[in-house]
Amino acid sequence: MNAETDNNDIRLDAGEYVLGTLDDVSRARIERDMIFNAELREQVRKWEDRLQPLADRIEPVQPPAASWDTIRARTIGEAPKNVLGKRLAWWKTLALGGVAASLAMAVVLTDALKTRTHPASGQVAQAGAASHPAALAVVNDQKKDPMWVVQCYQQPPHVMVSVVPDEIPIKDKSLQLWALTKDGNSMFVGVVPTSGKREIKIDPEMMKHLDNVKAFAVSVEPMTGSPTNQPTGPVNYSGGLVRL
Amino acid sequence: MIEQVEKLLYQVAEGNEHAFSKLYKLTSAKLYGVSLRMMKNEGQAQEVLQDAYTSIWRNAGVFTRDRGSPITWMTSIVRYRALDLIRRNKREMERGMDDAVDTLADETPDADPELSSLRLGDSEELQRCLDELPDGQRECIMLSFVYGYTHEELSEKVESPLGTVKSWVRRGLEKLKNCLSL
Repeated sequence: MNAETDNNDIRLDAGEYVLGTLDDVSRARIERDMIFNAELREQVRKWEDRLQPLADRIEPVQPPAASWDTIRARTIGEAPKNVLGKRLAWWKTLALGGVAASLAMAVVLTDALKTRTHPASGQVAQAGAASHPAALAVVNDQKKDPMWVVQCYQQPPHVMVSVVPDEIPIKDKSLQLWALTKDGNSMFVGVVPTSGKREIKIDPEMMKHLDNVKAFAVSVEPMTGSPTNQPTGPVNYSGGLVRL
Repeated sequence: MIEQVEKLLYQVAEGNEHAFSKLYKLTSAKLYGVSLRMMKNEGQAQEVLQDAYTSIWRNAGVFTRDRGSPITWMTSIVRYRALDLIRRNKREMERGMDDAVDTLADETPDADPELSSLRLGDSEELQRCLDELPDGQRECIMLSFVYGYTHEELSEKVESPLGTVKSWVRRGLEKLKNCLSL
């Protein structure tokens, strides 16, 4: 199958996803793939846009007043979530955008690790993970150039952050690593180096949430660190998480 | 309207409750219409609407202009939530939960006449492209988008074998893709 055929399949898969014809398994696969596949996301967005006139023709129907009461009861009082809305939104976009390159690199690294460790078992992320990462992310800058490789280890719980270029030329700032969860929240992981590598110990409780982490991002903070438990500076780097 | 909705969404992202209320007044009839058409059941259509607006409140900050029209973004939230619920209903039906079966069986309309009301203006690019499709392909694509039918449900609706319906959807999308320059 050549690249053109692949691209055509992606476009048609995206179309079927938007239509709603896919079965549960295929639907879940597309949703999972969209996390890492920018082309697929873009195709879904385009189909949504081009088919929207059909939805626009559907006759509006006034919902019962009780619907608003329910919505209001659910949402009002949640304002603190929205204070971070825009920032979360931005790095949700970052986390979902531009990860294709990192995924490709991660897959290469994953294959290399598997070949080197357990040639046929495919059990790299399972027991005996003392020296092998359970998950990995390549964190890119906004040009999609790789900046850090983040490897997650379960025993003992830690992440190893390796700088890809010789040095990242940022001075008088602190670069903070955040784990982004599927539900849009962020967890502070630690400060990443600008050269070489650094091991960051992880609270075992936090490690339990690894399954819920979909990406890592790095924000640029004052030397004293983010004054809140959320990123306050620009989130200039991100990369999707690949489980090994 | 689009600019107004976009502005309100940005305000909602800041936690502006008044803007959220205005956004609801401005868009809820349209979104409820979409939900009702897909769910074919007022109770579940309201559930979808409520879930969708809760999601819009929580995720308004996700919307950016490059995401396309805010109306499309909000409609998609409703449609995907409705599709989730339709799939859940289907699973429950398959497990033999009678209430779900009864609800769906009683309220599923005869879809064909409904589709004619969805005809777009002749000048609309999408309509021109749909018109170029063979009847079966066009009907399957419109029925699935508007009612959220799976291949199996389409097969029943248009009274054609499952394989034929799958092929119609795929081929229809292929032609639409080319016609719409996607």
